[in-house]
Amino acid sequence: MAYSEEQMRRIIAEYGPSVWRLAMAWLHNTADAEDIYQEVFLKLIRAKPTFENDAHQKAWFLQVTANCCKDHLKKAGRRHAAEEQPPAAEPAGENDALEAALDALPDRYRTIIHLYYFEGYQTGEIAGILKMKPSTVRSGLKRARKRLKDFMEGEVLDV
Amino acid sequence: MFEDRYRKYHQKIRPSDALNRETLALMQEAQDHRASEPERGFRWRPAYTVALAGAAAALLALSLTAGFWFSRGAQYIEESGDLDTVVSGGSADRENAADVPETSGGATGAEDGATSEEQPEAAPPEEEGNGESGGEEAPSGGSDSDETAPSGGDSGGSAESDPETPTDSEPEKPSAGEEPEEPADPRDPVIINDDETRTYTTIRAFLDDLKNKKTEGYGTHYYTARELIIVPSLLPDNARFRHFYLYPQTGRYAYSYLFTAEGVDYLLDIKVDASSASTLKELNQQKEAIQEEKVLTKFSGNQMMVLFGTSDLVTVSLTAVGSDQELTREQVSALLEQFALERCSLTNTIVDLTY
Repeated sequence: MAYSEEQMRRIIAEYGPSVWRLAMAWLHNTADAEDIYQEVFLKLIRAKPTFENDAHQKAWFLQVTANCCKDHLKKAGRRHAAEEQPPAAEPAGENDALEAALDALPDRYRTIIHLYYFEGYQTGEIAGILKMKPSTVRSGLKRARKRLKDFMEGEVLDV
Repeated sequence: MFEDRYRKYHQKIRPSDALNRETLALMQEAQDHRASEPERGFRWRPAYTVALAGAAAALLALSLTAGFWFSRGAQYIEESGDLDTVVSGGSADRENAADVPETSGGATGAEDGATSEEQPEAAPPEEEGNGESGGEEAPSGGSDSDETAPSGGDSGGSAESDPETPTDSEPEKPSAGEEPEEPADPRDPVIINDDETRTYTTIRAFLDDLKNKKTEGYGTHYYTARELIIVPSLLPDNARFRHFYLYPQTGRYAYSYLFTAEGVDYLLDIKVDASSASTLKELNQQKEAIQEEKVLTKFSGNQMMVLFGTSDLVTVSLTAVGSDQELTREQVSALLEQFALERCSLTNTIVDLTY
């Protein structure tokens, strides 16, 4: 199956942000996230997967992104660039505590938090995307919440 | 709420337009590159070659193994199961049977035929193997040969003592509806095709059979085991070769002659119980040993025993045909003085002998 330019644009527009956010959540590094971003879409061209529906396609993108991030960290070692910050969308003061709390989380916890709170996946779906046991995802989510709560000093986490 | 803050925080995080353009260009380039490549179909890989070679080698090995055991099995069946009934007793004997009138006592015996009407049938030699000769398979049965010799009907004096043990291969008696055949001469050779004995009416036939066995791949063991055969080297002038018996299971062999002395027919049975070489090495050792071996001769009753070396024993029995007269030792000695045995090599000397 060959994609037209228009199809490619649509795919990038539709799934690009999710890929980018997950890559950033995992890697916290813009340069690395850009590499992962392009690699994921090139895999789409090379593998030519067939999708049952949009949800399946999105899950495929997130799963490939997670795998690429894992491989990237394995190859490069832990290159967590603390100085790299995601672009501030709001006044810095509002997000300082959140960014600091997210930075303090281990990679896998940060990824679970992202997929759970932003992408809206259930723990079972997250387990499928990250190739983890559901119990591992649930325990990771629980620990991540506790750390965020402790770090944000009294922020009420409705989780 | 954390979730709202998180969503709000990440909502604005998006890839840059430049990154999207670059990614789009990469995707198009990759797709064009793939389009220029040949369609992915079956592609031969080195692993396929290795797998095919391995499979071929395995098949070849299996075929060779199966062929080997099949041939071994066939040879085993030929040597053991069908040895006596098909190989030994089959065509060779039928061919030999055709030679009977020329080579055996048949024609000449009929001419001599003084006692031909007295003996309707001759006893087969296997009877003696089960009889008084102590279970031995040799036809001439040692001291009891007057009862068990191949022509026991001749020597034992009565045909009535033998019919109780006829063999399947004995000549069939004519039925009532058939024309009566001429009475068989007792000196005619008895052709025996049973599970224990091969019968040859000439030494030549015996040798031919051995040669045939060799060419048929019968096995060098069988051939070489009898390469050094003990045969008469001196015979009375009127001696007529009668039978040659071979016992495939034991390697023994025996033969008989008819000859006339002073108007009396005599049957001479020679039973050879010689060791067999099972390998070429043993055969060569045997050949060396017999260069210096001693030959001892001993008379006992109507028998003469000749010991070649230490273990190869030949028993010669002499019986008068058609007479109840018991031979004295002097008579036996005098008659057997006309007779001598020696080892001969199957591959040279004996082949040229004519009997």
